Amino acid sequence: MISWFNRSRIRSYVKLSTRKQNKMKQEIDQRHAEQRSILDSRLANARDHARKADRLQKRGKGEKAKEEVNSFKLELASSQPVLNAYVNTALEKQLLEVMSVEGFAFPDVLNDLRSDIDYGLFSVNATNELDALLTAEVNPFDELGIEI
Amino acid sequence: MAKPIYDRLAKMSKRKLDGLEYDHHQHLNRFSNAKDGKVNEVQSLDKRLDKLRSKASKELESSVPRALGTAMEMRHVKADLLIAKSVLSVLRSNQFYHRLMVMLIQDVKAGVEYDPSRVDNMASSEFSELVEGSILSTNLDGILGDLRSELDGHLGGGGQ
Repeated sequence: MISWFNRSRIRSYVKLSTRKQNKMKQEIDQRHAEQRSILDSRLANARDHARKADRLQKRGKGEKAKEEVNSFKLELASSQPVLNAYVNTALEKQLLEVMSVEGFAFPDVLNDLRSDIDYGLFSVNATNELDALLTAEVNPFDELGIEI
Repeated sequence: MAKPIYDRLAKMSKRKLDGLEYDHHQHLNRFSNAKDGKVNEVQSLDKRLDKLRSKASKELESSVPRALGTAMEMRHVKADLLIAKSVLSVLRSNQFYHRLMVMLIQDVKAGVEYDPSRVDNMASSEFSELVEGSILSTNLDGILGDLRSELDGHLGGGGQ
């Protein structure tokens, strides 16, 4: 059920030396910053296409506006894998931060007491499941009914 | 889970129990503070999402493409919100664990008999929100549903 906490990488983190823990954290921080920056840039591009489409539409240039909307859609679709990777990294980054708090106990100590606690994204089993879930949960693309 | 811990605690000396209670108290404070910080983050993300939602609603009245740009931003905020809520659940479970330990140690010291229903009630009230409502249940229906139909019309008709 609480699959993130069964991952060997996560389990072994608490047993690492402080130097190795810091190294692992640094790597994740760097990856997280890079992914965030890519996401921000894709968002800016998408908004730019949306603004252009709006302007062109108001000027009666329907075909050009349509092209901008298509570019927006491409930007949106291409940012989904980055968003998935970003969420994965952010979860790991924040989990390591929580695990660094003195007195941290894995949630499975409470499993016998309550097995139905919802740990949100940490309960998702594998990366592909997380991807599928995020695509459905946070991507307005499908909800907008657009097919690329 | 709690009964074996209670039995183990019952075999400890008063000095050991005092030390253990102090440690769990310290951990409880640390996780309570961390949880409060995360709750603030969740609230601030919630607020931001609400603002974006109402912005998209207004934009939708005049321009679908503009609203799409805002919807894209909503997607990122929503992802951050899911992350923050998931981390919050881990902080909350740790806070609960240390609170439970403090309670069990104090019970042992006070000679109170182990009462499973008390532990159950404590767990139920602490985790009711996490058990009853899924973290992943929040969705972007409403504004996005409107956007979809607007966009369908927009793309199909070649203009609004």
